[in-house]
Amino acid sequence: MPLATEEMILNMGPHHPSTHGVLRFILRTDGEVIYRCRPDVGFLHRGLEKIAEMVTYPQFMPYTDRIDYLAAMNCNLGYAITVERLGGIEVPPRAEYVRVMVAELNRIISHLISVGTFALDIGAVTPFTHALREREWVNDLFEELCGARLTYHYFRFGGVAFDLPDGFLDRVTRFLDYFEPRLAQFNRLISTNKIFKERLVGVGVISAEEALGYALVGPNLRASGIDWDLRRDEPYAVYADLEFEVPVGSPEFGEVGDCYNRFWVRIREMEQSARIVRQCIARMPEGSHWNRSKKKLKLPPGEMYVRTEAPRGELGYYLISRGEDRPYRLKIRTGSFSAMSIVEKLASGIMVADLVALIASLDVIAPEIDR
Amino acid sequence: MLQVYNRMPSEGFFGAVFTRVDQALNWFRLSSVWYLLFGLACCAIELMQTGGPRTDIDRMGSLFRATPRQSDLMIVAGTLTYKMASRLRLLYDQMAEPKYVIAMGSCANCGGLFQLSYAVVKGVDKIVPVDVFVPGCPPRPEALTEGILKLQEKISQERFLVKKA
Amino acid sequence: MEAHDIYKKIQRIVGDGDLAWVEEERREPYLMVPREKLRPLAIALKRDQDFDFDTLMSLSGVHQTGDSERMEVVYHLFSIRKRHRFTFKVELDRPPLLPHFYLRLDTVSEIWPAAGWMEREIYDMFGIHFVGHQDFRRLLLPPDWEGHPLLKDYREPEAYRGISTTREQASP
Repeated sequence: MPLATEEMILNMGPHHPSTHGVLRFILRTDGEVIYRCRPDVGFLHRGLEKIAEMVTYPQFMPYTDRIDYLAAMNCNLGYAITVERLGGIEVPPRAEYVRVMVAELNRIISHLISVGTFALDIGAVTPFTHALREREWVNDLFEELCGARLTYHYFRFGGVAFDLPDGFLDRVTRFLDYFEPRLAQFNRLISTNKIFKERLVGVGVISAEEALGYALVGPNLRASGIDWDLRRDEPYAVYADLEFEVPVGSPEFGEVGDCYNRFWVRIREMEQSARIVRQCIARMPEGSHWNRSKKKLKLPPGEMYVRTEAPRGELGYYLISRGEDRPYRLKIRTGSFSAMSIVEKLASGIMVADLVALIASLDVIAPEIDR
Repeated sequence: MLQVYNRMPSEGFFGAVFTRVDQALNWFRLSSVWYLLFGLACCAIELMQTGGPRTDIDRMGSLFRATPRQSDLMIVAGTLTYKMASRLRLLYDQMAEPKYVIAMGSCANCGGLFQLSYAVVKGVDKIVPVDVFVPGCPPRPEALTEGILKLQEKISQERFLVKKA
Repeated sequence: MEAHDIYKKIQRIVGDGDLAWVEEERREPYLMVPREKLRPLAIALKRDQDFDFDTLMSLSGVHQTGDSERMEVVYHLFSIRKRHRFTFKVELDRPPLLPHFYLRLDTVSEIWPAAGWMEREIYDMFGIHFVGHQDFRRLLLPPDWEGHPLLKDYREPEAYRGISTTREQASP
């Protein structure tokens, strides 16, 4: 008797154990193989761009924490730089170095969660608890610095809110001395595991032209072979004075543009971030930490598009000001938005388990897509 | 089927027996409150850290489950939008009695700092009945642990067999 | 290439009429383009060897109120290989009667695939239709949502499917 097979519509609903946030995919599958995948986003759309038109510039800073809560310092940094450029506000050198130091520490912990949940989605539970343990160190450091563990609101226009406590730099150095061997241990645990490699090598390959066409940014773009990093190529803050390498996808780690390369780019970026933090500690100047002005902040009329390199890629703020104390229009451009838009194209022909690996490797986070 | 709920006397010899049975049942239930992972936004990360190595709520018997059929508690961690609200109600209805809800964080309590937004439900208690509200933005893992301990206290006061006071 | 040189070359390719070049203080220089010239301009910017704009960095909508009410769609382009950027805007009128009839624009999603979702988001927030888009529907809000939130005259509905939208005040 001939077997009849049918297509099945599978809803990978907004509530699922993967920790990338509330994302929904409607899949048309034939058994395990996906014919068509339609992402449905917007479950965390909180209307940040509309709120920006209702509150003043300093009042919007806590909202920028929530755009990408795993990299809150970087989101704050982008917004602070945009407003400072439009308003001509100077930042003292100590504040610049502190900003870069906390932004890179935040990059380390953001990538830790990213690779930890990546391993969790593939099925390995232990590396995730290792990543959480490493993260607790940095949470403690940030709590000492600004009082919060996740959404910091540490940046102000003209500097940072609080000065470094006594002995803080020694503690950061101690963390880095502890962290670098742990990263090597993490690699021995999971990154070179044969099963992990079998699951990821050759899966979800994004070619360089596709990556540029869909405006992918950050580690996703670099893993497809394009050597572009805003910290090195369009430097802001004090990145021009610091030495670091930019990891790019290579055939040494599987195919260029596949999931395994995206994983390895993040691991190598963590090593480079540790290097940057050490340089900041060595060069930390004395001085004031906040060029504070007593006047209410009113920006002159103008518009500007400023982009910085957050852990998930380019974070762009397009700010239009009409001379008031609040933005007229603030558009936030995030890396996860573009990464999500490419999933539909890549998902035909792969299996459901590969789709999970693909989404985890693109490192999307729901509030960045939905804002 | 003989309906025994809240019918048994609370005094005398049988009262003592059934009160003890009630307390034992409560102790079994509060010692293993399994929670449904309903992490929506930033509070989800603190929820994960609470289950993580340092603040380990597995000590209190709580474990995360991904399905509502196996869980007693739903921790709503994060901002609830109108698009997601119907799914929240659906999952709450799919849980088996007795079930509890903890609203974790400002966004779940009252809308939080997104009260100005057009797309956010101003408080989860518009959709599901909430037992414990945990304030914070995001609440520390210790705060969430206290919320779960308060819930355990609440469970220990319940009466199934004995007449309610 | 400098932005002004890009503008000069665009004038030669697309023709001069109705293009306006704006260079002001505290603004990046940008080009105002009429809606008919959008498609030829976009194709030229992508394909021409001197321009080579392979990335659409950002696509935003703006609702300008004031003396005249109009909507703008702002395109920020960047070329990774040539390392230059360019901004251009398309202006659309928003008359009070039947506004959605006038708020139509050609899509650029075949030229830059990143524009696919960006245009859907602009429709969701502003109500501008993009003609020729493959998969055109709301992106972020529920499909039965009424209104386009980022317009300056947007009013929130009283309730959505039975859930009220009021903010509760703290009781004394």
